[in-house]
Order: sequence, then C-alpha cells, then structure tokens
Amino acid sequence: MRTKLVSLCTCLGFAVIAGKAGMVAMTSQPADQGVSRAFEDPIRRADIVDRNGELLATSVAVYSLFADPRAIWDPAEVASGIGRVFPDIDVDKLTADLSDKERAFVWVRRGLTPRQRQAVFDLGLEGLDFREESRRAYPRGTLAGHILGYAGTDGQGLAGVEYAMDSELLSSREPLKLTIDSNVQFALEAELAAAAGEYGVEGGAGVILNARNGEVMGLASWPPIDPNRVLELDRDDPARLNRAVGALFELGSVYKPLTVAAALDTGAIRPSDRFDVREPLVISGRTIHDDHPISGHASPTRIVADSSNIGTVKIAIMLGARRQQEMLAAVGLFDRSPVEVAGSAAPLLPEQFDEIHAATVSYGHGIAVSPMAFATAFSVFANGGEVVEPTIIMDGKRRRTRRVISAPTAAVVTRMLREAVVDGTGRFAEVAGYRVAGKTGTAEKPIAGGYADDENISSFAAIFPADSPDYVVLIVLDAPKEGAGRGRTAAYNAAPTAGRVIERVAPMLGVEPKFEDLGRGESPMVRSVSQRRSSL
Amino acid sequence: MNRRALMVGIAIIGLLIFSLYRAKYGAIESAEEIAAVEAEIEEAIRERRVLLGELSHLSRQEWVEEYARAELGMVPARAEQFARPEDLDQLIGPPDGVDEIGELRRDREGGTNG
Repeated sequence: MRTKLVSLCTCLGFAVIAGKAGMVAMTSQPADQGVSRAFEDPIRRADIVDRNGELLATSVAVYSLFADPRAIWDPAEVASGIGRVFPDIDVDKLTADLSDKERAFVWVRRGLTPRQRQAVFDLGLEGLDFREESRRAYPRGTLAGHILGYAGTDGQGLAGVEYAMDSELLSSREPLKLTIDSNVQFALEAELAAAAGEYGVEGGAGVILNARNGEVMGLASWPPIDPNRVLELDRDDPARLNRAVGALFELGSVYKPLTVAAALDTGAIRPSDRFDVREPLVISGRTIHDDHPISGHASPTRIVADSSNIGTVKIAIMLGARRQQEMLAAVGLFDRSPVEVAGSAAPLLPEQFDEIHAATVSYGHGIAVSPMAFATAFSVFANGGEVVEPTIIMDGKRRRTRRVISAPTAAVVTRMLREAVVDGTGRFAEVAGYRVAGKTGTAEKPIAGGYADDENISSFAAIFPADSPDYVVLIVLDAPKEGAGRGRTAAYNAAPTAGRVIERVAPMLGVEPKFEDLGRGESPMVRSVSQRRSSL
Repeated sequence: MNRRALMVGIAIIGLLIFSLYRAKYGAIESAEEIAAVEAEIEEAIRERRVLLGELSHLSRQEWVEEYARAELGMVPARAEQFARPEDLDQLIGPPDGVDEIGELRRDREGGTNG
C-alpha cells in the first residue's frame, strides 16, 4: 500500500514536471520582450522625383555617435580619442559632458560617414555606441533647390515641398512625383543665372507653367540654394528666399493685357476703339504719362504693344474700379498662390480702390504679387480664357478650373501680345519658329518712403506658341543694370532672357517650331536669341 | 501490467514534449534565418538607394552639358535646326536615285537602272 502510494506520488511529481516543461516548450516569449528599446526606427522619408522619375531627393542611412557617461571610466581618455577622429571637436567640453554621471546619454557627433564610423569603432573605447539615422540627400545640388526645400536632422520638412508635403513623405513608401521636368528646370535656372551675371541683378525668378492643366514645369529663384548645405547659410542669406513664390513684386506693365481683356470682355471697349494718348493724365493730383509717347490716337492693340500708361488708364476708367477688381480676383491675384510649396506669399493690395489706385493698378503699380501668382493669372490668355489652379505635385487629380473671360476675348488679346513681340517693346523675346506672344513690364523698385529713381523690377510674361498657346513663361529681374547700348528696361533684359528660355525649353516640351510664314524655299535660318547673347 | 502501461505512457509524453521542444527551437532557427535574409534585403535596399543617389548625382545636367560641349562638340539645338519628316525633301533634297517627283532616275543613254 505504502509502496503504491510512493509510486503514485513519484509519478505525479514527474507528471507535473513534464507538464510544466511542455508548457514552457509550447509557449514562447518574443525575442525582444523585456529589452529596453531606447530608439525608434529611423524616420524614412519617401523619395522625391521629377515627372520623368529622375531622383531629386532621397534618404540615406547615416550613423550618429552617442555616449553613456555612466559606462565611461576615464572621460578624458575617451574624449581625447574621439578628438583624434574629429579634430574640430571641443575636447574639453566633451570631457565635461562625459564626466556627468547624472546623464545616461550624450550626443557626440551626428551624421558620420562610414569611414568615420569605422575609425571610432576601431578606437575600442568604452561607453560609445552608434545610432542609425536617416538623412536627406539632394543629389542634383542646387537643381530645384527652392522647390524641394529641405528637411532637418530629425527628419521633419522645414521648407519647400519637404514642408508642404511632410505628412505624405513620412507616411508613403512610394516616391513623390513632381510636375517639373528636371531638364526644363535646369535650362530655366541656367538662363536665370546667365541673366544675373549679364545684367547684374540683385535677384531673379522664373516660372514655366502648362496653362492647360496648371502643371508647373519649372520654378526658379536666383540666387540658387543647395539643400545639402542650407544649414551652413546665415539666417539672412539672400539665397534662402524663394523669389518665385515667397517674394512680392510690383510687376508693372505686364498687367496691361489683363486690364484690356477685362474691358473687352465686359464690352466697355471694342478692339476698333481709338484713344487719344498724346497728353498726360492728371488723376487725384498725380500725373500719368508715357515714357515713349505715341503720336496720334492709339488702338487697344497699340496701347498694349507700345505699353502706353495713358491709354491703359483711359481703358481702366471705362472699365470701372469694380469690374477691374472682379477681373483681378478672378485670375487669383487677390490670394496667395495655392501651389504646394511652403512660403507662398499673400499679395499686397491697395487699402481701397479709389480713383488713383484703380488707375495705377491698371498698369501694375500699387499691387504686389508673387511671380507664381502672376504666371497663373497670365495663363488666362494661353488657355482660352480659363485659369487652372497651379500644382507642382503629379497626383493625377483634376485641378480646379474657372472661366474668367471668353475665348474670343482671350484670342484677341493674344494677338495683341503677339504684336507686342513682333513690333513692340517685346521684340527681343522673339524666337524664330516659336511665335512668342508677351508683354514687358518695367516698374520702379519700391524702397522705404517711395520708389527708387534708378532701379527697376523688370519682367516679361510670355505665352507660346501664339497660334495655339500651351505654356506661360514669366521672368522677373530685380534691379537689372544698364549696359553698353542697352537700357535697364525689361525690353533689354527680361524679354531676351525669356526668349532664351523659350528657345531652350520648347523642344523639351514638345513644341514644334513652325516656319510656314517664311514661305517655301526660304531658309529658316533666321537669327535666334542665343546668337545675340553676349556670353555663353 | 499497470506499471508497463505507466512506463509506456510516460515515454510517450516524454516523446511528445521532446518533439514540441524540437519544433519550437526549429521554428526559432527558421525565424533567425528569415531575419538574416531580411537584414540582407534591407542592406541591399539601402545600397540601391545610395547607388540611385550617386547615379542622380553623376547625371547632373551641368556636368553632362559641359562634357557634351567640350568632348563631343555638341550644343543645344536651335529652332531652325528642327524639321518635320515631310519637309526633309525640301531642305536636303530627295534621296539618291529618286528625282523630285519620286520616279526612278533613267539612264540618259537609254535603258533602265539596275
């Protein structure tokens, strides 16, 4: 009996042990349970590419060095060793930081190259470890620098598309595709830089816009910025400003086609009307005159082509301030541009549209907008009277479109713009075969207390090809200088710059040159704008 | 009889427990192998990103343009250098052996070509 009882107890004991062993064998503990995870996985931002998939921004893995002072026996030795790898490090400060046993974590250096990481590793020092981080790299340097913006060391977007699309870049693994073409962008930036050198400007901006669908093909600001080196720039460095989106300019006479279009569309004037522009106008004590007086009576076409302030103001009076404001609001000039680049500037508008302000706004003074906003407004002539909301993100979404003027009105004004290039102030923008239509703008540069007497904001707004326009090109130059045989008005700087841009980008955009107007058998070897350039 | 059954039962239970033990640790080994392969994949992806970045860097237009100009003698095309296929005959003349109206050119002393 006792033997059986002992056997039973022994069997039960073995059964309990076996059962427990089986339970341990069957259940498993996750490998990392109970291990402290001090760091999260590195933040990986999605790549940014152009419309053709060319890489513009990517994230690369880098290693950052940190120390645990609690695990360091000799802080001076460790700091000295690190100083041999990084000669620029403050060894005394590092020694003090590593001596603080209250701290468990001290950053030593972030963004190590693989070689630096290996050099530190080879030191064999105590209390040091590496953390893998993700750093943003921009392989194309300054190309599209202002568009892209940059991200901080902790992976957050701080400017440009990096800021505007921050959440999308953090949450998506797929590349973010922009509407820009990197070759078009390069050509625009190159010509803007050449213009900066040739005309001695303080700044510049350029926009190339597909008027049909609102896609931004190129957006440039001079001086350029390299997102890889932005942290090295001073806070007030002029390169930080994206002049195409974040700066406001009084653009001058490029507004005249908008005034004329509004007057034609509302029936306030007709294309056959004639206006006496021989005598200056006086409005509210202010005299409005023409820099290049027109003799006789001028048609609306001649007023646009020869850029008559007097004629434009007379048209604006017939239009009326209310309808003038409606036109400007309809083309988007009363709002900041909705393009998806951080820092889009809101316009500066007159406090009230009284008689004198309505007059000056008609020819582009007293109202300051960004080049991106004005390029969008000017696209009304390239898109049959409609304005499409601009975008720089290729997401396949249909953009908001609104009709501003009728298609016949847009066509009439386009012919006026063509005349301005063929026989007006914009003749230096002409490019053989591409039928450029456009308008110059030369405005006194605003300074504290008024306007400068000897500095301009020069601009040229173009659409091409004039017979079936698809694209808008806008060039804005800040304070171009005069040169030998060359004034400082837009006819001599912004206009030829726009022509050179069009000449370079038109083939890339698939715009076919046409020489039908030269007749069969005639050579199309007309002189192009690039041959008139003094350099390059 | 009871003792034999007990021993057999214990042996079977032991065998089952041992099998479970092997299965679990076999699974752990497989998981480690999978983790190693995933790490290799991650490393390859990382290396690919670096290579794509380097490719983009080396494709910078200013360098390509400089090389094209200096080494290949190329310059950007001008508008007058473009032509549509239907204009080629006018610009550079018809192909050899075909006159302007597209007929085979006949030998002036008679007979036909070919």
